[in-house]
Amino acid sequence: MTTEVRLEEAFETFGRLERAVAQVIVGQEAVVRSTLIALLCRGNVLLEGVPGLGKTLLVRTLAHALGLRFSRIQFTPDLMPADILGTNIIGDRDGQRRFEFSRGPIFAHIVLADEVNRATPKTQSALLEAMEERTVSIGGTTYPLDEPFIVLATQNPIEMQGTYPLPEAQVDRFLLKVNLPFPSLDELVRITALNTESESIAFPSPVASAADVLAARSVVHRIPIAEGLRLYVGRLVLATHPDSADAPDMARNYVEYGASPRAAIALVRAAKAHAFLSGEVHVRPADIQAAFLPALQHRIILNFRGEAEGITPSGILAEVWRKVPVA
Amino acid sequence: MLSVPDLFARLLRHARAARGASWAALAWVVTAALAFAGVVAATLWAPASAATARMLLLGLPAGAAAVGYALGHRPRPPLAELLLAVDQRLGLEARLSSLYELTRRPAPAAFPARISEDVARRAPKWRKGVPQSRRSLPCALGGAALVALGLTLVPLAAATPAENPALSEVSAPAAPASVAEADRASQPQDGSSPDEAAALSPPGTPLPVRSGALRDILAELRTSSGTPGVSSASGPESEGEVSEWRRDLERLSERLERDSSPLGASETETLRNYVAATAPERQKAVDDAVAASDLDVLRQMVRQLLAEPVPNEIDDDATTTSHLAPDAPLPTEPETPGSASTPTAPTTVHPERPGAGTLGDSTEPQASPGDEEPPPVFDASETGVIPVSPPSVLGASGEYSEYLTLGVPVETSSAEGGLRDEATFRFDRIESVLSGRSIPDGAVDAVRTYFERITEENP
Repeated sequence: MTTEVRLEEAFETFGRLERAVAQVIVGQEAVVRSTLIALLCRGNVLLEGVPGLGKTLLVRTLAHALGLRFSRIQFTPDLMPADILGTNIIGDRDGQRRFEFSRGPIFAHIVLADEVNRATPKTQSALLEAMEERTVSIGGTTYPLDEPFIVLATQNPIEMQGTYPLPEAQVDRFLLKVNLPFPSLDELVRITALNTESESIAFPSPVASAADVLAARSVVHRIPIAEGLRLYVGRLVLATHPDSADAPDMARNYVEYGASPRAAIALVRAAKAHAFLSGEVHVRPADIQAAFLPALQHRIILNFRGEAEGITPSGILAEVWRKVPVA
Repeated sequence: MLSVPDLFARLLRHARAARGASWAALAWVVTAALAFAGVVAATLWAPASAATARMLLLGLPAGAAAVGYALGHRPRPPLAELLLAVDQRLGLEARLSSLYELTRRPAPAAFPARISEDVARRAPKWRKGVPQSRRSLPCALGGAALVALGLTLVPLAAATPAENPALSEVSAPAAPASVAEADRASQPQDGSSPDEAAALSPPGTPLPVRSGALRDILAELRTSSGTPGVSSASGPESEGEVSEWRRDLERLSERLERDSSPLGASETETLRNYVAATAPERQKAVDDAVAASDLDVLRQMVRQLLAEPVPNEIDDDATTTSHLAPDAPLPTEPETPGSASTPTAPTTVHPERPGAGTLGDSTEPQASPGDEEPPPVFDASETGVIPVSPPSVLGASGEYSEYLTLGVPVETSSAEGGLRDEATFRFDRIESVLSGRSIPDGAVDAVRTYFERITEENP
């Protein structure tokens, strides 16, 4: 009975959370859901879209709705790792001078790494280590990050000059990559109305806590996925490889490297979280489908021919999805 | 409440049955095709093996289907994959397979309860979810069609007269060796009826005999064929009566040998009783001799009558064809002394003597009384006795015994000289001849019916 109550509470909590975010963020339901999925899966999200689509607003709204600490880091070429992680400074305490660790903005529950590709690879690596290990090591001391912890990094796809594109190995560490679509006309009208008719945006009051998120994570972790669906996920991932027997022609022709095993893990985890957010206690094929593109599209490395012909990973994945049946 | 283990067991059972059926259908259609090819080949090149082909056509596919079902049913399909397939077919969105996953590892009780509730609500009909092979039905129907087509071909092939000797033939002069053999020879095989065989026979093909009807007619003939003074009844009373009459006739013969006094009333009655059922000519001759008190003629008549076998001495096998002795014409003129001891032998056909009594054999040497039974003497041109030499083996009826029969007049064509194949009937002549043979009244109709029946569709 206790488990049943917790399950229903978790469903209700995240239902309220989605509704609260939707009060501020107009449209972008897929982005909101992907962010929540990453939150539930202990993952991070790479958001790709032009400026002005509400990425920062999304992160701030989510932080408010969850009552969590929020930090935003604008990545620039001269940004140093210490600017993100923190540094040891000499402090004076009780008449003694010693090094004290000054925590950087990474020490928050929700971190927005804005235009992450503008920082140098060294700085990017510092961020990505924190994302993966959930710890920060400085001066021989390791500092754990608070849970829940989630990094939402953004990229601008059109301004490539003076940027440092993330290496594939580092991109692979993001659970999901979400493309922010441009809002529709109705959504634009609502956005302008929401942002011009009042002096400030009314962020929602907290509807959940960090403990609620951790409890929900526990539930999501135990959601079963059928053996047949695990097999299906494996076939999907293998089909992205050009030398796979199930690979579609597009994958054979335009893919240099297919999705990694980490992609399969990410897909299953994301599918579980998606099922949870849909009010289910088991993974459905529809959950896998919903998580398929966000979990794999940044893990497909095109070959020269694919890039030259303007092939996108999403097109290849759509072909893979059509080619591989569930059962 | 949904019982998950029971549900999984039922699905597994149905899946195994479905796979067995699929394999069975495949084996069925493949072997049916092979058997069909075999039937076609047998029909074309080995018609005699049609019955074997029929068995092959039925047995081989059925056996192969049974084996296929057993092989397909035997292995246990992977339950996880099966359940996912059922999920897909029933639109359960992987609920069943997730439920199975929850049975294999510890999980909060709320999970299976919630999934089970959804499953029970969404999919009440489980059998529809079990994957069925798309080829099962086409294969089963195709195999059945091949078997049906093959079974249709087999009877057609078997009914072809040239290829199936089972259909007996009755040609006009060739009488069956015996009733039983005629019945066996006329019995169509493979269940085809005589009408069906007749319909399939080409023009000019001799028709099969309706054996049952002919058997009845021949049985009637057997019981009604005449012996002087013997009624058609064959009970002990009739036999005793005949014996008594014969003893009276023997006493009369002894008396006539001793003295030459005219016949008394009782003696005349004895003689008339004995010849009462014989031909009218014989009765008339007796009456004339009695009236004329011609003892020599009477003495010769009595001798001849005593030389004839009594009814119970006649071979039963010959009764269907030759109780001819009483019908033979009696001498009406006194014979020479030398010939008195060798009266004209009664016209008896010996069934075991092939060649005897053939056309033109009317001048056979005559035996004296007390010798071995004399050979038959009759007018071949009048009675139409025909030598018959049927094949030693006729179809499935087995061997025939050659024999002679007293036939009826036939008209033959001398062009080919083939008496057996060219003979035709003339019923007016048949009737006149039969009437001259003193056939008992009750047997005339039976004889007529017999010949009408065997030629009714081949006049």
